Parts: sequence; structure tokens; C-alpha cells
Amino acid sequence: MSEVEAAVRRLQAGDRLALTPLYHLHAESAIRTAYLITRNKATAEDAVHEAFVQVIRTISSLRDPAAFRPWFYRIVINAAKRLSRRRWFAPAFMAPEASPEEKVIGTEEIEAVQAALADLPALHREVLILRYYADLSEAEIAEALGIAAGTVKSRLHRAKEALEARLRSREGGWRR
Amino acid sequence: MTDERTIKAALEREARQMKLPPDQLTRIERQADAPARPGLWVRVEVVAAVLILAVMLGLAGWRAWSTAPSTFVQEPPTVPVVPEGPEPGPPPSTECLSAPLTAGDKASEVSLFFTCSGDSFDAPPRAVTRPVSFGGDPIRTALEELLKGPTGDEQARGFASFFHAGSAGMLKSVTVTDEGRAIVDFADIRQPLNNASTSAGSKQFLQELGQTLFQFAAVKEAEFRIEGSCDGFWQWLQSSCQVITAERYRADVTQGTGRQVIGCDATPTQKALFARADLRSIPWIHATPADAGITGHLFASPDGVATTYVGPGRPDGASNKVLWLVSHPGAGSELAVSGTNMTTGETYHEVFPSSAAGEFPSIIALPAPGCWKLELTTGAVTGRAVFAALREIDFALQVRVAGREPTLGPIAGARVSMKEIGLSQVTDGRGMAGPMTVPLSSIERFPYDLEVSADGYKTCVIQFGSMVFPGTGRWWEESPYFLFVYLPEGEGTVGSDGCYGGRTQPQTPGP
Repeated sequence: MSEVEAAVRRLQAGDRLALTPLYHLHAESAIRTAYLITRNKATAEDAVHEAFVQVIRTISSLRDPAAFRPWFYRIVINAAKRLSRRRWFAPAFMAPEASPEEKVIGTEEIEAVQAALADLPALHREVLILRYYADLSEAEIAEALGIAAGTVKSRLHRAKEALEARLRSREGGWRR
Repeated sequence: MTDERTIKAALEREARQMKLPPDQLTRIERQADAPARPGLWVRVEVVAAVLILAVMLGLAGWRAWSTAPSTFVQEPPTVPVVPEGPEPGPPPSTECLSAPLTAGDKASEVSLFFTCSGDSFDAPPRAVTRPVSFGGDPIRTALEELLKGPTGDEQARGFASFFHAGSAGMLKSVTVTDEGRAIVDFADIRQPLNNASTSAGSKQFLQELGQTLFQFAAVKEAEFRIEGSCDGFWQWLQSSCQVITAERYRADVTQGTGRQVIGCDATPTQKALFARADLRSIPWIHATPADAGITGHLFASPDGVATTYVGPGRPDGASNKVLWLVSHPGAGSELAVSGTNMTTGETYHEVFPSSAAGEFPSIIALPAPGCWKLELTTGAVTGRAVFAALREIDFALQVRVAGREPTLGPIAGARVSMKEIGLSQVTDGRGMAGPMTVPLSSIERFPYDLEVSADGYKTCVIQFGSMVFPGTGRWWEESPYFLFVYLPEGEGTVGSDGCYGGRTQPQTPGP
């Protein structure tokens, strides 16, 4: 039994202390995922806060404790999307320090992809975030978004095509 | 096609901008412990019951409803709104309603603002009305009650807050300057309220604090301090010393109706909250500074700003009665009211004996219209308030044509009207109208529009105040105020922006 599964079972049994490991294991990844979706720090904080409140209140409805991760991401994504609809904000961009990965790939290329990602429709961006940032499997994404596994596959494919199209259009634009 | 590693790196690059705020677990658990909202169908039933109840009570009459024992109390309950779109997010809660007050005659009530645990985080806090014993400074009382956090009963009704029993008693002082700046000094609240310093937390914390403080119309801005240090307070909230203003935080639940008297920054009235139980239907004001503990209950004033009528009362017989209540222990056996007309310098002075400890019934009979600054002194206590003194307005008007020398020549079809009060007159051949009288009953609706038009010219709309025209002469003997209105060239009807030169003028001696 994984650490997460054990914690979920304890929480379901009423042991509130079990929230602590769940929080420490998932909060950072969740808040960054929420940030990628909302592109607003305060909204991301609020979304994750609300998600954990909902975890406490509704954990008993989770039938398979091993499926906590997609179940939790579903709550986070819903909260993030709902809160973003109520707020207007201008996304701030702050160039962070390059990671070792970026140094290998090249900052310029990553920046171009980042800009193209920002341009994508929410539906496409969301599925890419869950797959490549949150590292959810296609089955887990299906669970988190409440859609069929086949839909996830096709949506991922279309999202990557859309990303590619935007990158091409940007290159074209620069050349002109 | 872009490889997955690059997509991942791009997403991680953006995500690195977001840091996990300090441990939120305590706050999460506290909110989760507040009662959960009922299920959808239960909510629907509750809403239906509330609507039916509201209709029945509406038929029985609002006043009867508001004084009868009620399940919910004073304000009509909020009907939840179904969230837009297909997302299954929680709808606004039907919880967090105020409880019935059972305060006795001499008791009072105060409003505090707490977060409703069923609301999302960007929702403003909601008002909790709490009975308190009457006396003392209302602002201080409200903040002291806020710092105690929600009571067990309030928590059971869904209210949550950063404030809790551990922060009770940590208000050191609150003073309000004549300019309306509240300086609120706390003891070191950083430890008991440690979760309030995060980004989302500080927003909620300031909302609760700000709305509680700015419900008092006398407070226009606020400076918060910890142990006397503004920097100490704001550094705790990861910011720097600043003054917050009422516009951002004021909830509209306790403000007056916004009625104003042009040209006089009169003391704003409050609605009944914090008034003594037997005075709840009377608009009241809070003299400055707040720690003088002087409140005035204005029996003849409309809601909005402190208003009185020239002489002892209104023509309809209502007197300018003001009951002054002084909670400060230094209050004496009589209250001296000294006034100065802020335009003419004319003065007023009257002394009123107390009818009971700290109670001073008075008739404020100001001798002339205008804006009056009153100084209220009893024993060692002094407070100040500004009153607008009104009387029926007689005025005359001459319509002129913009761009020409003032002329007494014919201006065809010139008319003047105040549609709100049904006042209308056609000018004579020289463009003159008057005298006209604006009755007192309409003064309570100030300001309103004076519309002037003439054949071939644009309609001119000017905002008409009350006693703001300080002229001393007479055009017509019976008309204390005289207006020139300049009509702009061109056909058609336009709003106030087309009113070229339309403005009030000091009176000019007539020919």
C-alpha cells in the first residue's frame, strides 16, 4: 500500500492527522498546476486551499483510495477554473532562473514553446498541463477531467498540433 | 513536432514562478470544520421555504415582519445564485444568516464581518449582528467583538474567521481623527493570527477588519499598527506601511442612502445598527473624535447626512430634536452646543441639561441655512459634528444665451422645470422666471436637476443644491437665490454636459 493510499484510508477513518502527509505530498504540485491553469498566484492559492477543504469534507466519497491523485486533481482543476472565471487579472511574467533542462534544450526554444502554450485554448492547455506537468497518465487525466480515455488521447494530439501551428506561425512572423 | 521534454520544460519554467505559501493546514482544517452545506435538494427546499416565507411576510407588511419574532431577523435572506456553466463548483451558501436578537431595551447591537465558510475565497465577508451592552465607543466595541472571532453559535451558522478566542482583547486603542482617519493599534497579533499573513489569508483578514471598521460612516481611511508600528503591521502582511480607504472595503449594508447636500460635507448618518434598542428607527451620527463617545440621534433628519431645518423645526411640525448620548465617564450634567456657520461665520450657542446620566435631549435651532460646525461639550468631553441646515428655497432665474452679452431682450419659449418635484414655469419675454419655491419635502431628495430650455437652443440641465448659494442681495425681494443659466447654441436636447455656462451665481443687484 502506498503512503498516499494509507493516508487516504486513515483520513476516511476520521484520523485528521493523515491530512498532513497528503498536503505535503500534493500541495506544491497542485498549486503549480493551479497556477498554470489560472496564471494568477492568489487564485491558485485559493483554489488549492479550497481543494483541500473539499478533500476533508468529501474524502469518504472516494471509493478507491489508490485513485486519490486524479480525484484530487479533478477538485483542484474545478476550483481553479471556477475561481478564474470570477476574476480579471493580467498574467505577470517573470523570467525565472534557467533549470539544467533548459540549459540543455536552450532557453530560446523553451521561451518560444512557453509563449505558444500561453496562446492555446484552455481545453488544450489544460490537457498538456496534466500530462506533462502533473505527470498524470492518460487514464488519470480521463478521471480528473471526467472524460473518456479516448477523448484524452485525441485531445492531447490536437493540443500538440495546435501548439505546433502556433510555433510555426511565430517563426513565420519573425522571418517577415 | 515539439518533443514532450520541451513542453514539460516550458511548463515547469512557468510553474516555478509559483511558490507554496507557508503551511495552510490549520486554516484548511478550521474551514473544513465549519458545518458543511446541505445537499442541492435540501438547498432548493430551503430556498423555496425562504421565498414562501418572504412572500407571506411581505403580505403581512415589512414593518410587522421586522419587529415580529422571526427565524432569520432583520435583512431578507439572500437567495442563492446557481453558478454559471457546467462546472460542479459549490453554489453560494444559504447559511451565514444573522440570528434573532433578544436584546433588552437598553441593549444595543453591533455588526461584525466574518467569512462565510461556504463561500469561495473571493466572496466578501458577511455581516453578523451581535447584541452588546449599550455604551462606550461603537467603533472600539465592534473591533473588540471582531477580535473575539465567531462565537460557537455563529460558527454553527457557518461563519469562520482568522480571529478567534486567542486574539480577543488584543486591541490596544482606536482613535478617529477629525479628518476621518482611524488609527487602530493592536497588541502583537502576529502569533495568534499567524495564518493571516499569507497572500490569500491577508486579503480575507483585511476584508473582515476593513468592513467592520468602515461600516462606521465617520471612518474614511484607516491606519493599522502593531504595538504602535504601522511598518510592523504591514511587514507582517508582507507589505509596507500604508493607509487603506473606505471605498475599497466598505460594505453597503449599514451606510445611509447616500443623500447629500451640495456644498456641505455634513456628518454622515448611520442606519440603526449600534443604536440603543429604543432608538433603532432614528438616524444617528457619531461625533468626532470617536473616543469622546458622543452619538446624536436625529429625529427630524432624513437618512444620509446630519440635517436640520432653519428655526426650531420643519413647517410640518416635526421638531429638530436631537438626543445626544455620551458614554464617556467624563460627561457632565449639561451639554453645550456651539455652532459656527462655515460660510458666513454666524454663531449659535445653546446649553441643554441632562435628562438622565449621559442623555441630553436638545432642539437644534440653527438661525440660518448653511453648513454648520457644531462643538459639543459636556464636562471634560468635547466632540464635533457638521450639520446641514436647510429651509425652503425661493429662487429666481434668468435665462441667457451663451456667447452673447447679457441681454434683457426676448428669448422665445424659455422654460424652467424641476421634473422630480413637478415644478415648472415659463419665463417672461426677458428670459426671467420666478420667484419659485422648492418645498422642504423635496429638499430631502437633494440634489436634483433644474432643466432649462428655450426655442432654438439646447436644453441645459444643472444640478440644483440647497443652501449653497451664498448671495446677500435680492433680484426680487422675495427671492433669496438668483441663478443665471446660459443656454448653448443649437437645437436639440442634451444632458448636463451640454450645459454651457449653466451654473449658479451669487446674487446680483437687479436693475
